[in-house]
Amino acid sequence: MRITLPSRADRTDAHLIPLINVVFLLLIFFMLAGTFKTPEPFAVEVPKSMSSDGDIGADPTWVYVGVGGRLAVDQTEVGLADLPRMLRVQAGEGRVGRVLIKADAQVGAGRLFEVMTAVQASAPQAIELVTHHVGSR
Amino acid sequence: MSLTPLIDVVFILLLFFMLASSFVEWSSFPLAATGDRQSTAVDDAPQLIIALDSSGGLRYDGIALTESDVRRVVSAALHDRPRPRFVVRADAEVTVRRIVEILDLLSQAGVTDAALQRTAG
Repeated sequence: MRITLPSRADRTDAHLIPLINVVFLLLIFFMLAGTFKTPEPFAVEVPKSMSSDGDIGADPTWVYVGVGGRLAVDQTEVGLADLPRMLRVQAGEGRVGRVLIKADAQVGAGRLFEVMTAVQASAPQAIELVTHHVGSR
Repeated sequence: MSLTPLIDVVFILLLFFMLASSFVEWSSFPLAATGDRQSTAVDDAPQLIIALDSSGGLRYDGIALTESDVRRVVSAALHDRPRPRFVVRADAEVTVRRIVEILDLLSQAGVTDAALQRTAG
């Protein structure tokens, strides 16, 4: 009966080095290629679009409009009446300028208009409607 | 030298970045002046109004149009002087999905700034 003793190379971790190389490459890929997810207050499935290519840019204020008309500013769920006040609080923190509306594809235009009117009531702001950019529909 | 603890840490980092990253490509449409139909018409530029009824149908000047008709009308209007302001006027029941489809259509025809309006009444 032959017993193969572990060779000197097997007893070290040298054979793991290719694995570590691959894992490091994956790690670098995800670190560089991904952007961090913004936590959402509730699930919003934004409509797809082909041609809009506006840039999301840095630190906008997010307004979420969910199914059933649920509303949130950044992480905080609010009612329509509180929306202008919430946005003024944000503006007081120096975050003026752009408001990005992330509206679910199923939301009705009536609700969208209500939200837009409320956003404009808070201060003159640039409003943008966020879409999910796809190559083709 | 044991490499196992190093691999553990690297795997945990990998898992973290895989779960925390998102590859969704966001983009956005600027929404120009909104409001009811009377409130915004201050400048002299004519308006080209595309109306969206509650079933999602398109109308221009009271005439029902297909999407390719709209593309043609809009392309023609872009060559006019003075260039009209483009307005999408939607019923309250129209979904955001449909509005984005129309904004997409306009943007493909070359319109860079379309306003969104509520159907009055």
